[in-house]
Amino acid sequence: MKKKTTYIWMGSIVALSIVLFAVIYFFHLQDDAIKVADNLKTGGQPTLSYYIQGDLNDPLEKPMDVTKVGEFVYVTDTNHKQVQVFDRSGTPVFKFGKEGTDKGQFEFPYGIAGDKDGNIYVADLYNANISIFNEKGKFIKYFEVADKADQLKGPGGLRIYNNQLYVTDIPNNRVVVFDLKGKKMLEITSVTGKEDLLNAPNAVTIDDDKNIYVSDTGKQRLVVYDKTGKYKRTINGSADNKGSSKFVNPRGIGVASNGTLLMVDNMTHYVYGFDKDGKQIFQFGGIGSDKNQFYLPNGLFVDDKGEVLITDTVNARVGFYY
Amino acid sequence: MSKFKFSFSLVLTIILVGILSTSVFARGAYWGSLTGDNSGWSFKFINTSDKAKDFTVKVYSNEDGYTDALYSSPVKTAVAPHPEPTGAAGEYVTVTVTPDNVNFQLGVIYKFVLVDVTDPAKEVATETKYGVTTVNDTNKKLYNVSDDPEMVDVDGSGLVNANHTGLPGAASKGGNKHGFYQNNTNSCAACHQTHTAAQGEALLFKDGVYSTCSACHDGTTGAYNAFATSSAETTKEIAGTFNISTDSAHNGSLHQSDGSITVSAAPGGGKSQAVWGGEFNCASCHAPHGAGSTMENNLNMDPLGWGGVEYKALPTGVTLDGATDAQKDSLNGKLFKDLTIIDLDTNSAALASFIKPYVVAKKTITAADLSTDKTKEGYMYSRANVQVGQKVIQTYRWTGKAYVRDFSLWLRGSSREAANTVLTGAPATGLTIVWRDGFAFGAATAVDAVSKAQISLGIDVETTTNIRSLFDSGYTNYIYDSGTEMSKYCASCHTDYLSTVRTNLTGTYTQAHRHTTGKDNLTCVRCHYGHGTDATIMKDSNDESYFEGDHAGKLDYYVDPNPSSALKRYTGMSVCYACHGSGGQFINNPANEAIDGPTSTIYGSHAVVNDAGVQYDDGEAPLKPGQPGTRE
Repeated sequence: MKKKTTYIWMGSIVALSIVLFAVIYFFHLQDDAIKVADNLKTGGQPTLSYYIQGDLNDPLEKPMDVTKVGEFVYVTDTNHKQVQVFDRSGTPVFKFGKEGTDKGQFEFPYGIAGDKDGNIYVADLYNANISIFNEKGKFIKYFEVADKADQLKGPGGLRIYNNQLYVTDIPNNRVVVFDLKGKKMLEITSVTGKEDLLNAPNAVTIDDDKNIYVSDTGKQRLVVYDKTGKYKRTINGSADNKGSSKFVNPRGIGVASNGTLLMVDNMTHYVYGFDKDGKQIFQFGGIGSDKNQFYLPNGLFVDDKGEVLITDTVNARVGFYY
Repeated sequence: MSKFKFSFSLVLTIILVGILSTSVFARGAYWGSLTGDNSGWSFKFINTSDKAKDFTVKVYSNEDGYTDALYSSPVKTAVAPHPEPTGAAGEYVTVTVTPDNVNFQLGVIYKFVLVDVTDPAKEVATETKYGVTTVNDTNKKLYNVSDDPEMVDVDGSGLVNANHTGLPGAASKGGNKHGFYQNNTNSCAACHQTHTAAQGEALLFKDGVYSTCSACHDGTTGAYNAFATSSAETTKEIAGTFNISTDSAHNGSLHQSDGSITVSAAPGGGKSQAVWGGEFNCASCHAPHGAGSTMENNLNMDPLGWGGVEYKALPTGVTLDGATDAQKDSLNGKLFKDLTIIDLDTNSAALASFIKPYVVAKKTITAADLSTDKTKEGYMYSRANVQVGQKVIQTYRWTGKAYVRDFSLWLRGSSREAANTVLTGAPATGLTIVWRDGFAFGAATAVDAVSKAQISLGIDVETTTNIRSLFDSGYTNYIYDSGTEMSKYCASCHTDYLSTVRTNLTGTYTQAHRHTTGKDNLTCVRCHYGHGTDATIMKDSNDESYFEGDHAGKLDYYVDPNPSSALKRYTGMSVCYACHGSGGQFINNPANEAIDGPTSTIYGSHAVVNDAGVQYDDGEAPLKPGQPGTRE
């Protein structure tokens, strides 16, 4: 009897602990989301926590893009033709890939994204393919398009949302949406028609309303479409978004949970924030290697909690903002 | 209102409407439109006068303040009148003007004027077209983007924004994304730091040039990819690629342009800090602010700044061995001051012996001096519209044996800059200066008014990205002098390696007998790549690479057994054998399938074919595109 009571007590304590942990964890997550979102919402820039610079013996060189899967940060270490993986503290965990054209090898690893199963998709601009790795960096297969006519010529930016792969095909001046089996769901090549085509789009992202944001690098602008690919608006940094563009080489983009749009402007070395209407609400950066400065920043990723990662190519680091 | 007032008002209205209508329809010619495309411009107009007239289109440029017409189109005679035009297509008359007609140059603004021939002083319609163009990747001809609202200058200054990589033609290689900045440009900070720069005079950030260039030229913007993966196409290009491997399986080499070395590392160059001490980077060869070059590769017009270094012969009694670095450098200087204008009309033997490496002479043009054939020297004059009977002032270059006409461009600076060409006494009008080809022409009175010259020589390579356009006179895009200019370009740093005579010792810093490089067909890049090479893009003497032919995929076959920094286009010594393979030295070589006959005008392993597949020399196997074959 005494033994049975002990079991009941122990079970109760464990159950209570689990419930308590869940409650605390839930509120912790909420707190994170509120903290970052509020920061962005009030016109403030994301708060820099630290920089990831890579393995001491193998520091990053031209990190082009970054994503976050679970608590791990995946960075395309482009000049080293590999992907480096870090834990939440910025500690290198492992890396995968090497120079070449075979399976698991890269010539220009660029866009990177994770699916709900933890698989990692890596776009290779020069090898003209997208490789799929498991969360440990083991090559699984190439992403194959169902119809050869949809073959990618130079994949750049990647995003995965609702089991759909969004990819910018840079040399083909288009953005393509596939399901994860390779069937083309949508293709965007222009803004309003043949007279206004995309040019070298480098990045794509999606908000919670399924609007599609394209960093149209060659035309120095961001273009926003609805989920069907219908044009909604252009953002180019000018007062009414109709004047001369303020951007020079716009690259990585991401949308925070509160709708704030963040964009990296590569050759002005700035990061801009916009509200849902495309009005600029903050900017930070500028050329340099000090805290919050950049030398040719490129990739940007915002997760569900509003944590922001930005690759800083010449400074060879990734800024982690949370 | 009284009936009188009503009637008066009505009559007055009718009269005024009549007057206005008359004035509207009284125009001499209804202005249609001026459009540009890859092949030039089309000028459309309607004759809205009440009788048939003759019209011509004249083209002026801003270079002389729109004073002298660069071109007058053939007269359109008896153009039918349409005093009440409806705009129907049949009412329009079209006059086309090609880039060659106006001796097209980037950055120049051209003004098109429709002229009633019966009253030439009366300009019936004018339109200005900006000379802001880029190069179409398909046919390499000029592509006019002036209709693009983002590209056209907003203030008439001829300036548009740099780094607008998305403008029409951006996917082509090069183009003039560099330079032509908009007045509210936001581009400077891409490369420069006003107050916190890590590097000297240019206020650049660390790794500034290399990193900035590769931000766009890495394939992410559709601009030329300097790091392209090796392919069959890469082997045909002038530059090769920086994306090479230097391991023993590839034995690659490249121009180390990341700023880690100085220019003094160039073989065949000097070591003085004044000229050679600067960082070697992309901007050592290319001009990030715009070259003014007519070629799409945006090559710097004055690499290493020789155009501002005055040429001075060694002092009496001083030999090369005993000369100082500064004295040696001055021998390479391309700034020539106080040059007498040698008159070849009165003294045809004046250039028989050496005077200076470059001199200036004038002569009266005869029909023999002109040619419409782009492969001939006379083309340089004809495309500038030089006429028989006019006089030309021209740079001449000493080859080691004789003086030849030289078409290095004349650098234009300001009075504050060392590199600046000045023709003393040149009249305000009547003398046309063709800066890019280094000559001036006009009526005898205008030319004879020039009493002396200071010339500052730069380089302008006219070519495409296909290697054949530089040396193969049978290739469509070949233009006379392109290969020679390319060699001069390489010799800006590798100065001693520019040679047109093998029989003499040449060189300023080291004396040696050197392979000829100072001819179009023996241009440096015929044997070397500009950016980098490795076993995957080097070829064998049969002009086959890793991607094709009998040894496709066999890396060990193509790896150069002599690893070096030479950026060779051909592996091992096939760099020699590719051209000399069937010359007299190698007759009876059973491995060679095409031996030239004893009277052949061609030596080399094969003859070159032109675009139509026609061989230069009967009986020989045709070449694959890009395959070498020396044509003498």
